Amino acid sequence: MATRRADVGTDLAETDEVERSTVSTGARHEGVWRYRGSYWGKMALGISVTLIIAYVLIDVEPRHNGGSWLGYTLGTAGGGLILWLTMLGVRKRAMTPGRWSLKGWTSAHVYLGLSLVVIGTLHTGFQLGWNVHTLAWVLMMIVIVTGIFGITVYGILPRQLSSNRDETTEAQMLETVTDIDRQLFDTAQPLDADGAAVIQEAIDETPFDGGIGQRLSGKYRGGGTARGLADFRARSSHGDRSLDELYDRLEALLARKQAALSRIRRHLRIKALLQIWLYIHVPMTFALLAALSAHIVSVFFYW
Amino acid sequence: MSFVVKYRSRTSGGREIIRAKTVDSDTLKIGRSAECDIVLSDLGVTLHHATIQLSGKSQVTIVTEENLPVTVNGRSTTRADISAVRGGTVRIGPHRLSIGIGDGEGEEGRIAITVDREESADKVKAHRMFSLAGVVPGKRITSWVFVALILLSCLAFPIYSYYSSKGVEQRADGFHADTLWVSGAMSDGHANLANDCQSCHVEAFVSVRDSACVECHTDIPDHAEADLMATAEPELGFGRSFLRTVATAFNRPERSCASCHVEHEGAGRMAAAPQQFCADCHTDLDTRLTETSLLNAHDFGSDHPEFRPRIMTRPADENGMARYRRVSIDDEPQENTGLKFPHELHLSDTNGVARMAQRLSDEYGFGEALDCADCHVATPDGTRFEPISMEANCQMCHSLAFDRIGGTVRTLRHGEPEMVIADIRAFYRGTSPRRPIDLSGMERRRPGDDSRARTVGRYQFAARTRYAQADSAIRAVFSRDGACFDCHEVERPPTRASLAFDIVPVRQISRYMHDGWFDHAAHETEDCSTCHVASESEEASDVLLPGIETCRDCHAGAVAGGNEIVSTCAMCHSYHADDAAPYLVRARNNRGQRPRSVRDYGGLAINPRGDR
Repeated sequence: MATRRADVGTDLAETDEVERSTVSTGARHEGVWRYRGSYWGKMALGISVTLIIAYVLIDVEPRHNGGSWLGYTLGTAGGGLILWLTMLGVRKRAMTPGRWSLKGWTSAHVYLGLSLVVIGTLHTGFQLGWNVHTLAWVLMMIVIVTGIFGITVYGILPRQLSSNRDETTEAQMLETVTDIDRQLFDTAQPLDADGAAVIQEAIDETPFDGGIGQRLSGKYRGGGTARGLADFRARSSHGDRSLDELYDRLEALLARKQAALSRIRRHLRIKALLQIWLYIHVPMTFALLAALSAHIVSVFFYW
Repeated sequence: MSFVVKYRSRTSGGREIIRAKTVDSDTLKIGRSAECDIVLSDLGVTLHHATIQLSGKSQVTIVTEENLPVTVNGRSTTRADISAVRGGTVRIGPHRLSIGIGDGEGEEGRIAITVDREESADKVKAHRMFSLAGVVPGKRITSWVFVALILLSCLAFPIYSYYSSKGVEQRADGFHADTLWVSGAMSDGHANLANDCQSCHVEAFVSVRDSACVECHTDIPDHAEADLMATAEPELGFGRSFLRTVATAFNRPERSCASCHVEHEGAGRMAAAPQQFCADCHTDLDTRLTETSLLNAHDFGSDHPEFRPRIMTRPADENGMARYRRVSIDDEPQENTGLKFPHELHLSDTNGVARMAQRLSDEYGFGEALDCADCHVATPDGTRFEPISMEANCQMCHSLAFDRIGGTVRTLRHGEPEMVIADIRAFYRGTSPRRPIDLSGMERRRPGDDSRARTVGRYQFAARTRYAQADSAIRAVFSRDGACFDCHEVERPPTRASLAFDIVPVRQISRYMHDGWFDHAAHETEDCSTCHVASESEEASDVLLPGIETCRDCHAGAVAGGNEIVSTCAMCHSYHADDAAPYLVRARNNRGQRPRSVRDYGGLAINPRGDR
């Protein structure tokens, strides 16, 4: 990507002004936010403002609730909207261009999903409690908030991801580690049992150790490599020239492994942040559909 | 001499991208550092890893830094010569440097070094390792788990609760899963039912029916006959008729208890029905319910008829029954309670009444003049006033004394005219005229017997005819300026000679507004004279009730501005037509709520429920 952009830049320098503007307009990325001049954004804003005004102006006695005519209308609209928003999961597997393109659909998904905050919350009439109805609202809000998180990190993190990977692929990163491990293994052959154990521990450490917490925080404490590095730093300047040389080489290798690990882990952290929202967004969507079914059935069961 | 360095990489689609640069030098530094001529960005490469030197026309020598062997043509070494003509491959970490003679445009004769990366690892596998899939549970399984949990706990379990307690008279205490469905706290009155959904929601998928309400609320009268209410209902607008169609389609009854009394709207009292509910039918009611005697109304502030109190037109008819009639305040009603009483005279602070009040102030606690409260005593609940009675309120001034025996004053019996007549007769029969002074023993008299004999004669005549004087005394009592006549309507005897005087019975009205509710205690912040102009009333027949305009000084309709008080229908009227205070008033009393401002309906400190 960066390569291509650099190329385009070089080419443009040689062309005239008019062409440049044509090219840059054509090349400008139109994401889901700006799709069709934020058509769906304006639509969602219009819907939300209209509904808020209606909510304020329409007098529901004794107080706003989901069972008034306005409440039923909002509820039906919100329920339909939730089902449609869920359909993105099916729709995204078929990419199409044009007015009803996947991009347009996604843009509508994002904006209308945000307007669901207004629709769903007004439907509650701000009456929340420990019940199935509020459960559905809470799940809906979790889905929306994770969605907001997702689209935010999609806007910020890819740049960090690509600056961190420094034009290497994931496979190459792994290869680097394997390479260093191999060198460590070879270099460590003359060591005694204690030293070998330390190096073995360092070799055994992979970038993928640790759970979801470490993936997201990027904080890994006391891995085998870090311990080995500290160990061999302490062993340096032993006096014995050949051993010192060996220790220096091992220390250098361990430092490189440590550096390689932290780059991969930064990469992992950014990727985890980019992916984690969907692991909540999707299951919570289905939980929401279940809670919504329970909500609707319960309302009419005990009518 | 110069080198051409080409970086070759591949897009994800497999397309090859080559970036070339020319280096005008005889040596090329290779390493990770940006200063190197060939930059290999990989942590497996040191900052300065090796150097390539030109060592012939088409031959190069690669020399690595100490301890950093590289693989040249498959052989690990720290120094090697490579012929560009024959070509050679140097591997440094994952990078492959292919050395050859340039063949592209502008490369002729130069040594070209093509740099590319080897990617031997499985891309798909690497991709999977880098994704989150390994460390968090899969989306699909999590979704299924959540769906199952929610459907079981929030749908299946409550439905089971319903069917397992069906037909049970009263549910056991403890958790019932269908309480998970409660959409809001119950009002205070129904709080005890919160754990027993089925007490109201009897049938599944059938909305709450009135039958469930009247099971407990047995004595609630309905507002009017059902057919009258149906007739009185106005033609619905498009929106509401649509809503009704929807409600009917979903089998939701019209005009049910739950149409007005909405439950699950939070703890506290259940909210009163909105005014619109009353106004729907009572606006232009007479156009639909042509037979009705009720007047149209839809808002106290803007559309409410003048008050029509039920006043007494005769305290007693031929059968001794009081006659009543509802008259609008506009028609200056005159009532007849059988009593004569000029309020003006009694409330004056300059006349004899005031003087008498001052004289009796020590004994009865009067002020400089009489005050309303000197006679009118509130009922215990404060809503209305006790009836006036002769003994409690009049007799301190209007004495019925006629004789004194020893220190005891004898009075005529109030309320029993025949007793009064008998007492007067007895008085004249049992007493003799006052003895003239010249008949006493110690008399000082004119000389001679003549005068004495005349006095004796007159006295004997007086004593002889004394009994007959009772007649005129009786007449006097029942006639103008007599003790009875002053305050009461006297029924004259049928013949002139007869003394069968009688008094028209006095009846007092305790409640004028029978379809509405007025609470004096709620208005204790006001003076009586704010509403009742008693000090100018010269006749007891004046109805001293204020008109609606007086009320509107403070009471607005459903919408109030400034310091006005919001006054919806339910403030004075009760939908369920019993005699008790309207719902709003009762609810406030029951909570013992003290008002914080005038908007809170004034000082309400009224009676508990049941006071009429």
